[in-house]
Amino acid sequence: MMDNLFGLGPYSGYILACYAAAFAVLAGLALWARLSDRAARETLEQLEAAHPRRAPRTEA
Amino acid sequence: MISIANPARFLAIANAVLPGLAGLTWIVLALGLWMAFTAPADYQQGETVRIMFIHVPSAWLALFAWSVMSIASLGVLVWKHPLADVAAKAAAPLGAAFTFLALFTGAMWGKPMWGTWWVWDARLTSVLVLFFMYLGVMALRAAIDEPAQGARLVAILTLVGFINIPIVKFSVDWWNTLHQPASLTRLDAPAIHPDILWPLLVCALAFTLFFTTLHLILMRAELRRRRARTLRLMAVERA
Repeated sequence: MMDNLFGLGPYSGYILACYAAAFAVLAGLALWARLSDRAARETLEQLEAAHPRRAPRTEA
Repeated sequence: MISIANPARFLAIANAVLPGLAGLTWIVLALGLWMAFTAPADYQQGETVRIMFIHVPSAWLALFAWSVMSIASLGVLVWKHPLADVAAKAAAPLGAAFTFLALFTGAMWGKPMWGTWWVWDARLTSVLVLFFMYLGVMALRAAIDEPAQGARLVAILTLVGFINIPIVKFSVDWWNTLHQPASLTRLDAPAIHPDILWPLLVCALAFTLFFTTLHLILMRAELRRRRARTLRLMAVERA
């Protein structure tokens, strides 16, 4: 049933499973990293807006 | 190098470098995928040699990520550098993911070539131990509320765990294993035909770029989380 998919021979199911797993892992990692970074940025922006830094003292 | 490694300068460099690095990563990944499927079949293994283009780079990155964590752990314990623990923390989930991929693709390659998904030989077992070590350092960090104490304990565990890296690498030389010995990193010439070697090297480069890109993104996210934590603590102190 899984033989010779895409001309990859009798073990095509094993080969395609590896590439599918690699795609899932790499895409999952990339998505998680982006979402994690975005959530951290938004949290930090909210906190910085709520607690603005003091402006540096300027000479009169 | 040390002057670059302060958090503010790191963030500025990461923000400048990441768009180009991410673009390059996707291009090299696409090139690697194309080369992996246009490479000729192996005279012994046939089409299953295409599993190698994922399996070997994943295994290299599994070892590389722990090595990065070990160097960062030295930075935590010896120099107490603020970026060192950030680098170690960001590398752990990436290393775990690549180790999982190496184990999974190894099983998928082993079944048609060896007739079995798994054997308890030194190479496979030491890589499985490496996978559990990744889970262990992430669990340890998550279990400790005080970040500085967690960083020190994780750094010690990481450096102790580094002993497994040469064991993984040289297990095929030190013990009789079903897993084949090194084909590429040998003192003489690589035992792989260039038609298969080049796709393998491009895939390895693609995976390394992918690791570097995500490592920078995760480090940036962690620095932002730490800055947010500091702001919250300052707000509590003022209240």
